[in-house]
Amino acid sequence: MKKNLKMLLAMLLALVMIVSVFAGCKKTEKAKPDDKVMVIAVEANFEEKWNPFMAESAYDMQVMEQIFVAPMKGVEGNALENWGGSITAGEVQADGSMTYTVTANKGMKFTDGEPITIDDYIYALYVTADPSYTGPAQLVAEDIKGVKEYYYDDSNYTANNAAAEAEAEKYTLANISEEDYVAYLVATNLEGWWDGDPAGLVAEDYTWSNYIEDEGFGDKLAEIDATNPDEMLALLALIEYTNYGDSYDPYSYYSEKVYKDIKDADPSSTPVDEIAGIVRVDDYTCTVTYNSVNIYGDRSINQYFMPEHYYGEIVKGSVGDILANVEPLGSGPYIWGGYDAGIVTVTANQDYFEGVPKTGTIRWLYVPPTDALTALMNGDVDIAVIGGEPEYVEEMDAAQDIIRYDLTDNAGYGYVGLNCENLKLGVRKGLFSLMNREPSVTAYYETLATVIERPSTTVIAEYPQDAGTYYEYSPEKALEYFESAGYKQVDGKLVDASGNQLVVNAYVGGSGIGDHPSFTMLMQAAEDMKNLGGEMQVQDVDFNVLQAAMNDGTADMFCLAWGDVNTCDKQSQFHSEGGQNRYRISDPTMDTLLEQILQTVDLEERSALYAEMLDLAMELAIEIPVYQRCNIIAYNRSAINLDTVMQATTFYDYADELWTVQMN
Amino acid sequence: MRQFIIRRLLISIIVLLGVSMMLYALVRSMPSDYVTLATATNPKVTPEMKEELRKIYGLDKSIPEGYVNWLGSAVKGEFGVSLKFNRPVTQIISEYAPITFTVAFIALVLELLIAIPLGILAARKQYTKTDYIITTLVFIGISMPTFFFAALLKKWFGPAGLNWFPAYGLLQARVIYNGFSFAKLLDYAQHLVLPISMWVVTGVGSMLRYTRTNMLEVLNADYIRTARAKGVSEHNVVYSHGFRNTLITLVTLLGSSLPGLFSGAAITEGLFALEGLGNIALTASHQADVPYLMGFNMLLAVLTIIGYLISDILYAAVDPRVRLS
Repeated sequence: MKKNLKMLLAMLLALVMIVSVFAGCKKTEKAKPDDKVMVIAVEANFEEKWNPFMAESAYDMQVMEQIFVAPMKGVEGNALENWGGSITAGEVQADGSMTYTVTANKGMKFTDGEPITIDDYIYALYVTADPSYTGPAQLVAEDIKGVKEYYYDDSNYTANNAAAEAEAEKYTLANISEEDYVAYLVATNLEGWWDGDPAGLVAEDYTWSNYIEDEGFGDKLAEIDATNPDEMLALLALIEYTNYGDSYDPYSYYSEKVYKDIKDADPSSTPVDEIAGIVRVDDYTCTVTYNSVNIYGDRSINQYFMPEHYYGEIVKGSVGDILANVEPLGSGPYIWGGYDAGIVTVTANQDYFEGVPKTGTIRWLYVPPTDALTALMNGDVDIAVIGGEPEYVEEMDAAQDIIRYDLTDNAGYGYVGLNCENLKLGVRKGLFSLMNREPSVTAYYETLATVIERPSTTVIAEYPQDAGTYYEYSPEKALEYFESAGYKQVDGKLVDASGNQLVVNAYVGGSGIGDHPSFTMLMQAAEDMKNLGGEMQVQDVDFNVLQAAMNDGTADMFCLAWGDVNTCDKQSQFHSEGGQNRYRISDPTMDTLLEQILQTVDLEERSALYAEMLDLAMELAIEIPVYQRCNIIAYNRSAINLDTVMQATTFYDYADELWTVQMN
Repeated sequence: MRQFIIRRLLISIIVLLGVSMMLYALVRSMPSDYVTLATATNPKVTPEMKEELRKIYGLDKSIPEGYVNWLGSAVKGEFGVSLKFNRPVTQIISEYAPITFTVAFIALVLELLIAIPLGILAARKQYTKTDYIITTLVFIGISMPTFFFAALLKKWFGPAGLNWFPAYGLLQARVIYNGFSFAKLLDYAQHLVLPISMWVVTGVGSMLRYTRTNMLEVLNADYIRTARAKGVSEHNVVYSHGFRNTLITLVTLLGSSLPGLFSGAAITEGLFALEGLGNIALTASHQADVPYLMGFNMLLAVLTIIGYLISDILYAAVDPRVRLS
C-alpha cells in the first residue's frame, strides 16, 4: 500500500512536471500598450510638414522622430549609438577619402508590414541629393564622392567647376570691367529692380527719370529716348555701376553663367544617374564615401529608412510628389494617426523592433507660452516646454508637488555679429569693449542664462570652459581701439582723418519695444559712444528687416542666435568661403584652423584647435559672445510616471525614449 | 439690373488685375525673400544652393516676369504651392476657411444683435445716462488692445480663473472623438466662447456707433416729425419709419463685411491658438511666402468686390429710390 502510494505520488509529480513543461511552451502573451492618452504641449504652431524630407520646425520634427527610424540615434552626452542599424567609419585612405559602412537591422518592418532593407536608406539619400529637393537636408552640401556630379548632372563637374571658378575670377568686384558689369546689370534688369516701364515709378511720386537726374545723369538722360525701355535700362545700368558698384553681386551671376557655358561646351560631360560614393553592398549594407575626412559625416548621413514603395520611385529632377506626401509611414514606435483641429495624434506601433510602447496614444498640440504652465498644472497637458521666463521658474518652485521640471542648456548661443567689411579691426575691438554684457543678460534672463566668453555654445565637448573675458567692458579702452583705427576726438566728436564722425548701426529684433537680451547692452553702448564723440544707431526692427540689412551689408552689427548646434563645425560661419559668413570675414589663418578642426579625430587635439580658433575669432572681433540660455521641460507628476522619465540633458530627454514613458 | 451686374463684373476684372499687379510687386519687394529667411539659421547652406532654390521657387525671375508667370497659372485656377507650408495654396485656404468663417460669422451675428438694439436705444435716449453708459462701454471696447483684453478674459474665465472656458485651441486633446458628434460640437463651442467674445467686444463698437449716428439723423428728419404729429405710436415711429431707413446704411456696411469673414484676425487667432487664415497669413508674411500671400490676398480682393456688389444690389432692394442701371 505504502509502495503504491509512493508510486502514485511519483506519477503525480511526473505529471505535474510534464504539464509544467508544456505550460512553459505555451505562447507568451505579448505586452500591450495602455489605452491612455498622453498630451504634450509644443511652444509654436506646427508647420504641418508631415514629411521627414521637408520637416524643418522643431515641432514637426518632434512628431516625425516617433514615426521613423534611422541607423543611429542620439544619446546622453551628444553621442550616437546604434539604433535601426549602424554607421561605422573606416580608415582614412591615402587619397584622403573616408568610407562609412551603413547597415540596417534584419527583421525590421514598416508599419504596413513591408520589410526594411538598405534600399530604403539609399532611397532617402537620393531624394535629399536630388536637384529638385527643396528641404533642409541638402546632401549636396556634403563632400560625398559623386554627389555634386549627380546634383549638377555633369560627369566632369570637378574639372568644369574648377575651370569656371578660375574664369570667374575676372568678374570679382576687384577685377570686373565696366563693360561686363553693365552687361550683367542689363541682363538681370538691375537684379530685378527695373520693372521694364520707363514711365513707371521708383517710389511714390518719383519716376525713373527723377532718379536718373538726382543721381547726376540728367545730361545723359537728355541724350536718349526716355520712352525707350532698352535705352533707359542701359543708362540706369551705367548709373548703378558708377554710383553703387559695390552694392551688386556680378560674381555670382557670372560664375554660374561661366560654369554653364563650360559645361555645355564640354563634349565629354555626360549626364549622371548615380552617386559614385554610395554603393549598395547587400540587402542590409551599403557604403558612403567622403572625398575628405569629415568627423561629423556619420551625423550628416544618418537619415531615416524611408519606404520607397510608399513614397514612390525617384524621377531625377522631379521629386515634388515625394515631398508633397504628408501622410507619414515609417517603422518607429508610433504610427501616424492624423492632424485635426491643431492636434497631432499617433498610436503605438505594437511591432516596433525595440518593444511595445508603454502609452497607447500620444497627442501634441500648440499651447501659447503664456498658458502652458497653467495647462500643465490643471492637467490639461502632461509634458510641456516652458518658456525661459524667470517668473515661471518661481511658480514651478512653489508647486513642486504638482510639477517636476528639468533645466537644460540650450544647444545654441546668442551673439552680436559684426560686419568686418564695414568696420575696421580697431573699430570692431572698440565695439567689443563697449559691451557690458552681464547686466543686460541678467536683467533679461535672471538665472536662466549665463554670459559666455567665446562665440560658441558651451554645451559641446570642445568648448574651452576655462576661457576668460577677452575684452573687458571699458569705454576708455574702447577709445584706445578707436584711436588705433585712425579716429581721434576733435571738438567732442570722434572723427577720422577726413573729418567723418564714427557712426555705427546695430540691428536688433526687439519687437519694437527692446524685448531682447542684448538691447540694454546696446543702449548703454550707444550712450558710451555718444560720450566718446561717436554715434551708435540702434535699430529695433522686424526679423526680416534685420536679415535684409545683414545680407545686403548695410547692417554694421546684428543681434542673432545660433540654434541646433551639436558640433564644433564653424566653417560655414567663419571661413572666408562659408555659406553663412555674414560677417564678411576673410582670414587665411582662420580658414586653415577651421579646416584642421574638422579633420582632427582626437577630441583633446580638436578641443585645443577649437580653443585656438575661438581666440582668433575674438582677436579678429567677429562675433561678440553674449549668452548661453536654458530650456525648461516640465512634467505633471500625477499624470506621468516619473520613474520612467530620465533627467533631461541638452542632447537627451524624454522625447528620445518616449516609447518607454508611462502614465500613472 | 442684369446690365448693371455685367458691367460691374467686367470692371471688377480690370480692378482685380490692377490689384494683383500691386500685390505681386509689394510681396516681391519685401526686404528679404523666402529662401534667405528659410535658410537663415542653416549654417550648411551655400550661396549656390540658395540660387538653386530660388530657381525652383521662381524667385530668380524679375518682378514683371514673375508676375506674368503667376498670372498665367492663376487664370487657370492654379495658385501654386505655399513655400512655407509646402502644400497647395487652395488646399490650405479651403482647410482653414471654415473655422475662420465660423468664428467671424458668429461674431458678426452677435455684433448685429447687440449693436442694433443698443444703437437705437442710445439714439432714442440721446444725452441721457443710458446713452452715456452705452457710449462709454463702446469706447472701452474700441480702445482696448486685443492682447490685453485676451489676457483678461483668460484670467477671469479661463483655467487660471473661474475655469468656465478653455483658453486655447479648438478641442480638448485628452478626448478622442470618432467622427462628428454632439459632444465634439459642444467641445468646439466651449473653445470658441472666449475668442468670439473678444471679437464681439472689440468689434461691436463701430457698428453700434454707426447705428446710433444714423438713427439720430433719421429721428431728426421731417417725416419722423410728421409721423409723430400724425399720432403714430413711438414704437412705430422708431421701428417702422426710423429704423427702416437706418437699415439702408447698415446693409452697405454688411456687404463690406464679407471679406472680413474670411480674412480672420491674426492677433485674436494667435492669442487663442486658433489655426485660422489670419494667423497663417501672418506667418506667411513673416516668411515672404509669395504664393500663399498672393492666393490669400486675391481671395480677399475678390470677396471685397463681391461684397460691394452685393451692397449695391441690396441698396437698391431696400431703397426704392435707387435704380440700378
